[in-house]
Amino acid sequence: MIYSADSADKYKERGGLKMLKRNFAKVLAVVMILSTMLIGLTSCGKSAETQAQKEIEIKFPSFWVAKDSKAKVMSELINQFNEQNKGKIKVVVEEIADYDAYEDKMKSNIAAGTMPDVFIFKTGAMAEPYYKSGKLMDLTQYYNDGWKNDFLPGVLDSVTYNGQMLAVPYEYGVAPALYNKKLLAEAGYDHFPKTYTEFFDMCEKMKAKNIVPAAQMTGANAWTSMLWYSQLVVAIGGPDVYKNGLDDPAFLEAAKMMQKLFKYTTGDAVGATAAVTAGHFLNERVAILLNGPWFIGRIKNEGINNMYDNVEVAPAPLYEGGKGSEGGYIGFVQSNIGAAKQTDKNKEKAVVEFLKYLTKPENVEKLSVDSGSLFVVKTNLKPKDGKVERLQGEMIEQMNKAPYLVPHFQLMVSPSVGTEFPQALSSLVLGEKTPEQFIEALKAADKK
Amino acid sequence: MKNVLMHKVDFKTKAGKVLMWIVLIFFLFYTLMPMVWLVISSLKTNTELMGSPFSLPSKLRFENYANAFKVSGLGILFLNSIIVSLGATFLNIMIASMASFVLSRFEFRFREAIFSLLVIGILVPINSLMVPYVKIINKLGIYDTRFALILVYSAISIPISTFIIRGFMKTIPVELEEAGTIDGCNFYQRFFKIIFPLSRTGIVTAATLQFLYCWNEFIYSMLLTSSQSVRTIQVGIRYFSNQFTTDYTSMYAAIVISIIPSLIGYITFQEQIISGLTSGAVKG
Amino acid sequence: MRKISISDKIGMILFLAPAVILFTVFFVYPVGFILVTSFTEWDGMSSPVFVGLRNYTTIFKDPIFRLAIRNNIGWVIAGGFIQVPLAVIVALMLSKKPFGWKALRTIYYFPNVISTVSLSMMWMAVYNSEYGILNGLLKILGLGHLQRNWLGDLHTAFYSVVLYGVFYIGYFMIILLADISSIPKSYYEAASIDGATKIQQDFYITLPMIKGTIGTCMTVAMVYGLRQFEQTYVMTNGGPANKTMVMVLYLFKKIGDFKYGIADASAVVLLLIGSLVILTVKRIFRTENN
Repeated sequence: MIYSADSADKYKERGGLKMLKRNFAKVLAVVMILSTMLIGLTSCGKSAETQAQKEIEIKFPSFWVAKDSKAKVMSELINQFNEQNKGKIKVVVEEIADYDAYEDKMKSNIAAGTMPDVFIFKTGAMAEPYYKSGKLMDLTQYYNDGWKNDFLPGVLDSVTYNGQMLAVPYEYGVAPALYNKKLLAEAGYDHFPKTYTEFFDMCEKMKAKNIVPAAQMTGANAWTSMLWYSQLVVAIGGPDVYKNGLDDPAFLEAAKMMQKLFKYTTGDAVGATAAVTAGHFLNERVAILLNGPWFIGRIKNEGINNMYDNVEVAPAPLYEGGKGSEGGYIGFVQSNIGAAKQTDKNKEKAVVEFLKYLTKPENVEKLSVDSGSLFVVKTNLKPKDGKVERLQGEMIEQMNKAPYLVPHFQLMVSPSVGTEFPQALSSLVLGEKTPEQFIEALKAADKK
Repeated sequence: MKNVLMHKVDFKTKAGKVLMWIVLIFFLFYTLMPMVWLVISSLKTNTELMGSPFSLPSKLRFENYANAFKVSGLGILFLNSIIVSLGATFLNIMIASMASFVLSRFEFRFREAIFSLLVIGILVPINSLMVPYVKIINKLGIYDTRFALILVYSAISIPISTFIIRGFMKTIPVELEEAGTIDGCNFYQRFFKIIFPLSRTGIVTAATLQFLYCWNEFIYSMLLTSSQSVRTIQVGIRYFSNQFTTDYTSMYAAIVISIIPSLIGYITFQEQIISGLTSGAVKG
Repeated sequence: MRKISISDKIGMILFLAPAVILFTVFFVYPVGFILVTSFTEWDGMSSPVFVGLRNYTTIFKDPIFRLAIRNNIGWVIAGGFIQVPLAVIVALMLSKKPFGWKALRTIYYFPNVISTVSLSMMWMAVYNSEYGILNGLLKILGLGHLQRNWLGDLHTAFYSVVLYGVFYIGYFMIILLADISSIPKSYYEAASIDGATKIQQDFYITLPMIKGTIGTCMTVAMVYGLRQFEQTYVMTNGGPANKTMVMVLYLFKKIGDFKYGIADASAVVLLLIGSLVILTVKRIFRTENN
């Protein structure tokens, strides 16, 4: 094993040099073949990139692609933009349909120091690290140029951080109760309950008829149940409840209500995912589902027994003695569009031009009509002018009438609390934790 | 006396046989169930799937397959998967078997240390590597190429492939290799002519696993590419999973389509090698 | 010890170089990166801030992380001491070449070809309390009292996630079967002349001959048990009440919360625990060396 002069001599004697050369030649050949093969493969990845050098290319990774409801119009809009700016600006969309993968990729890229030119990110507490990073383009001067008049009042506050406006708020979400009026009628109700007392009465009557009142879930991010909780917290503590943090007694009271709500749901609620709750609702196994406008299309296409005609929308019930008011709505900016700081002024202008194009009222109108989504940009759409789909129109109407719109829980607390919520909720409803311990668990997550 | 004994043995083997078949049939059903379920589910509507996941579809929904075929550039995604999987399997297996040859057939200082370090690589959780991998690939200037995927997949599996192949190489008797040395085989000839063919079993095992890993890998396929023209079939499967909803039945149809080639490849590959094996038993 | 000639030495270096280079670039550097960031507070966006060992004390004080370690040990045991032994038994059975063994060998491998996501989706449906077939089966068997929401029950969730996969033995069975088939037939011929039954042959010839490969399989199974992620992520996301949490899911969630420092500290802990497991298994199966 140890190199010795002895073996070196032998090696010389055997005329090893020749042999060595031959071996080297062999290895070299293999390496060369391999590397040419690999270079060949590399080069076929890059196709027509050598086009006119002056054109500014904007990279836009997007999940509004594939089967997303906004995909079709979005791609038309971008094609049109590229057509209008031919030779000057070209937006190249990177398609990432899977939302989790999208977020993983954006985060990894930003952490690795390469923020995409334009990208979509979450809002509320989830947006803060992006604002703090100092890597986002400051859009303040452009907004002040009149652009901000395109937006609904107040929404730009959500993208303002330390006096800078760092993103474009875009899609809006509301989360009212979607209910199957046929199932409600079977329990003797022709309208959605206005108060929780009435609501629980109805639950009892439904239970007697073997109808499961509402879908709940604790799997994944506990979406539907998280919306119930958000709604309860505001109904009990009023629209300013988040100012006091988790110490506000409303959070505890709402936890107690969640325990009660889980008595009137399906047996698989603990651990259920959004696919399960959607499946229950679309198969008429539950009467009520809290969800947003994006679910309307599925009711239309997938609900059994022509479900769509039987579905109505209502604000969640009022909590008697609470600080909330009737008709209160959960409403939140669903997604922000962000842009990376650019060193090249021309590119910065191009990016802003693209962002302004995306928020042009007529473009947003097209997107909204075709996808059923809501946006924070002012449009001329009227809820009942025939262009807007029925349930979407009802949501807009109720939203406009709502005394307040408060974002959902996950956007109002730190990301860690949002992550811990499904776990704490399942312990709560399984009786492993008391409501007090539930609040403690959320607070503990906040500290970690 | 002898007769009784024979009878007993006979009974024992019979009982053993029955037991064996119970076990084998249990596993047959157990392993076949997901495949059958997947195919049946891919012919349902989503509402049916969520309503009664184990019933037969009321009507066969071939449109799910039509949807799957409509995924833009399905052919290219397929082709890329084949190129990337074959390329990464070839590269990985060459590198790992060369390393295994050195790490199993020679004794030198730090051998075990190098091997242990390599093996610990199996443990590294993929999720925590995303940021450094993006950095590396950007630095190498190969972002958005098939080569990036080939390189990363080859590298990721070096630990596991080396671990498997080396295990097999260690069992080859020294005499066989020494005979080769006496016959005047040099280092490379001993590897290519003696050890490599004799450790076929291990190499095929590692190659099969590597190929399937590459075929099914999604995270890096998405992370390290941006154009549809270099992406792999897994991206096509995720086409049906969106922000708010997932079209499971169309996704299952896409999965069924995507596993057919890997299944055929696996069956033929495995068949050829294993039948070739029984002829040249080498274990010592 | 055999002396190594210089041409062999050059060959050795050339043969090791690609593996070592790729390993350095794709493992040593990234792990170094993880190690460094594990001592910082980093949201992945702003600059990291050095915080010493704080991330490590945080995770060790976190009962959820401790539960994750315990669960991972459960996975390791299930993989190494249930799944692999089952694979050994089935491989021994198939090595006798019963009717249709080739087909069985292929079919047993099927689940490994299907994506984990669809496999997990099916099992979620099996375990579901509203329409799952497990509860239906129990009812038919007159065991209706055992019916429950398997994945949502504090006591059964973890076992439900772990156990179904234990019976998917294809992966290891293939490796073992390949190894068994390379044992010279002459060994068995000699044994059967001596009057050894098939089972005795298994115990005295086959098992000792494939001991090394069993060790390989056990190590791989255990390491996969430590790295377990996708199954848990899809089926329970760690719930209910974190009862099914595992280390990689923990770190994945921390990345989701913009806590890269803590995520990377958990990755380092995972590596340390894993190294211990690997070294232990290696020691147990040491006799195979030399």
